[in-house]
Amino acid sequence: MTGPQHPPPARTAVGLAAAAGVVAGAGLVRELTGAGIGALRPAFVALGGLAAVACLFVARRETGALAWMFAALGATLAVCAAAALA
Amino acid sequence: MRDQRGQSTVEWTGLLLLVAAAFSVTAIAARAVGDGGLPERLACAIAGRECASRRVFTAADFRPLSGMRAAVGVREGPSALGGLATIVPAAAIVEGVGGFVWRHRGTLRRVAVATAIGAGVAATCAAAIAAANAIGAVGCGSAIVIGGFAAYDNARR
Repeated sequence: MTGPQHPPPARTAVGLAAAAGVVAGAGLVRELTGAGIGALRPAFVALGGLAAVACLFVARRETGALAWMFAALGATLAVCAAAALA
Repeated sequence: MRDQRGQSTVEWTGLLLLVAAAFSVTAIAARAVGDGGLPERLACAIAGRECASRRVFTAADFRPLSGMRAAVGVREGPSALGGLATIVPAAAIVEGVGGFVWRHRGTLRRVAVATAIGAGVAATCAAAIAAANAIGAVGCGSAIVIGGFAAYDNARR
């Protein structure tokens, strides 16, 4: 397959970030209720890492405040995924 | 002539990725070596007990450095100020700082990760407010949830 490689659209990246947020929220609820996070941790790490890469790619294409938001969101996701992994 | 628009963003993103990768490796490595006990040391300092380990600056502490035969920088006689203070060798200070960092590596790791998460969430929401659109609102909201979970998870390790 040839042709230019397009970065993922902004909605996809922010959707992945929102999904990571849902997983994180579910994990936090389970942790606070004493049920244990279980399999949600690797899911959060994988989803967070994927969303971080998508957000940083989108930040390259966007301009202005939205680019900064995606870059900061991508960095936040990367740090959070690393913190959950370590 | 090619369009240079957005070039700095590319470079900045690359730098960001590099920093994030380095930070991740550091976090994982720090996690692998174990935890320290800064709260315990703070409690000892407040209570005034002698549970704190080696001090860096001492008055009249002439003990030789462990593992060092040469008395580098150690004064043999009274100082110019009448022996009121002893200048601890630079090697001892470096050793003390290194030892402090090593002892409290777990706490330092937690503080660094929490600071990075907090700064990232704050930056995300600040930029989202500046962007003032639905994508920014979702991004800020997810960053708060993700950051909250990661900060909680980081604090209880």
